[in-house]
Amino acid sequence: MPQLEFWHFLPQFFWLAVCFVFLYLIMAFVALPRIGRVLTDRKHRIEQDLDGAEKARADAEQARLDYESSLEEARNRARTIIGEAVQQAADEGERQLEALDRETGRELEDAQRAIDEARTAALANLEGVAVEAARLATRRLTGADVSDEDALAALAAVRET
Amino acid sequence: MATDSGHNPLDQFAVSPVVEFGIGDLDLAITNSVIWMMAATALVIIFTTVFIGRRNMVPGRMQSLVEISYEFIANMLEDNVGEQGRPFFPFVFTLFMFILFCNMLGMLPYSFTVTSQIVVTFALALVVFIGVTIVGFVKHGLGFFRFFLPHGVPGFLAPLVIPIEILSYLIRPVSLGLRLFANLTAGHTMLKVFAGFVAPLGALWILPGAVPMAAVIGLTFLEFAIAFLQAYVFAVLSCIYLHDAIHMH
Amino acid sequence: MADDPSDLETRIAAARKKGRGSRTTGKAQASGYGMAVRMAVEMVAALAVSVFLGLWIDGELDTAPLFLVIFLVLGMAAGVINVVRAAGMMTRGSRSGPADGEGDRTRGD
Repeated sequence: MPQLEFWHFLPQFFWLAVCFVFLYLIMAFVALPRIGRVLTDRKHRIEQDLDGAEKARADAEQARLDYESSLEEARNRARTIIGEAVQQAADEGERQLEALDRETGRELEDAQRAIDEARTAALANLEGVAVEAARLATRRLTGADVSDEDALAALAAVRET
Repeated sequence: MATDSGHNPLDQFAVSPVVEFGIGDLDLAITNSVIWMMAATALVIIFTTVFIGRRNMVPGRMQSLVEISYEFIANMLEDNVGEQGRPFFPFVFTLFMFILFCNMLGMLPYSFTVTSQIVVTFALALVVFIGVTIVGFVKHGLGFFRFFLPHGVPGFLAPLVIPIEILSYLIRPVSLGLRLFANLTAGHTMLKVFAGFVAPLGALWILPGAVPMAAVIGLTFLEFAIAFLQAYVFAVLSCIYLHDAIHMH
Repeated sequence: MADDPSDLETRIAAARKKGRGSRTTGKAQASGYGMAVRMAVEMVAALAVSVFLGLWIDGELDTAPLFLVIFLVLGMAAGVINVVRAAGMMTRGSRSGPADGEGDRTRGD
């Protein structure tokens, strides 16, 4: 077995030690810290990206909720506006009806009053006509001229009977 | 084990000096094994630094591979040792990558498998063993000796159990180094033996040559799996030993 | 509101979980061959260590075969214990067991 030839033990051992120590130093102080840094950098970056994605998702969710609540709010507002409008319209109608009622009432009263006036006026005229008629009738029948006052008094007496 | 084609399957493990070098009387020649060792070191450094250079958020294929290696070892350490294993992460990572690249480089044609060298595997195992023992004593002081008397063992058995436990502890680095060495050596030898059959049998006729060829292809896939697995096993066992030293079972 | 936001929520949660729970460490089953090689390595290592220690102490104390025999016996026991622990690891499929053994792997050794 050529591996057991003693002469090359020492040179191999010596150079192995040199190579291994050199390699160890490079690994420990140059290569491994760099690889480690790259790995942790990337881990942080992925973590950050995931956080970002998570945040974006939460934002989207929030936006959806906001949208829904604003929709609900708008719906409510519309409902109240419609309600108010209906109420207002009803009130308005009522008021107009009342006004109309008042108007017609007043017109009725006016008419009544006019009728009353007409009647009293007519009655007053009737008295005059009756006095005149009584006077004329008396003259024709009796030939006597009766004054208006007498005629009126007689008329009054007649009416009381 | 000499085959007719003249290639000894063990020749691939032969070490030969490429550049003579030494300090004083010490021979520190750069051998072919050392060159592949350096190649593995350089490739690990390139692999772990070049592709990660740009800090892109979406990793490319190579960067993903680097990151997977990183997390693979980090998870292994956390699963086996826990939070307190963190400081040893660079060590376990270096260990795993070095062995993995040595194993994988050994799969290249005409290359040399550094981890089939018993010196190399035993040196790595010893580093783990000594390091873990130091961690144990630093962590628990002399209380680490209690490690050798498992809970629930009656006192009168202690004189028997303690030597066995100490022996079992001392066996660890040997089995750790031996395992890596044996796997890589056996696999590559087998590969060479079968490959050695391809040419002479293929010269007879196509079919006899095709059988060992298929075996070589199958073995090559198996060897790739083993190359990874052995690096993994070495790293996992180091983690388990570390766990024992830190948590005392 | 074309996309359902609740669906998005589950998707974000799924992405978070994926980021956290990624584990590359898997567990494979040990094959019979792998186990055999593993045990062989364990026993050979036990033998090697005990022979080495026995010969060394014998050499120091000049007690010829005494410690070699003692360590061979103890070493075999330790080897068997290591093997049993390794096997325990394999079947239980977890690391929690004591001293020695390895994660369950195909062809561990």
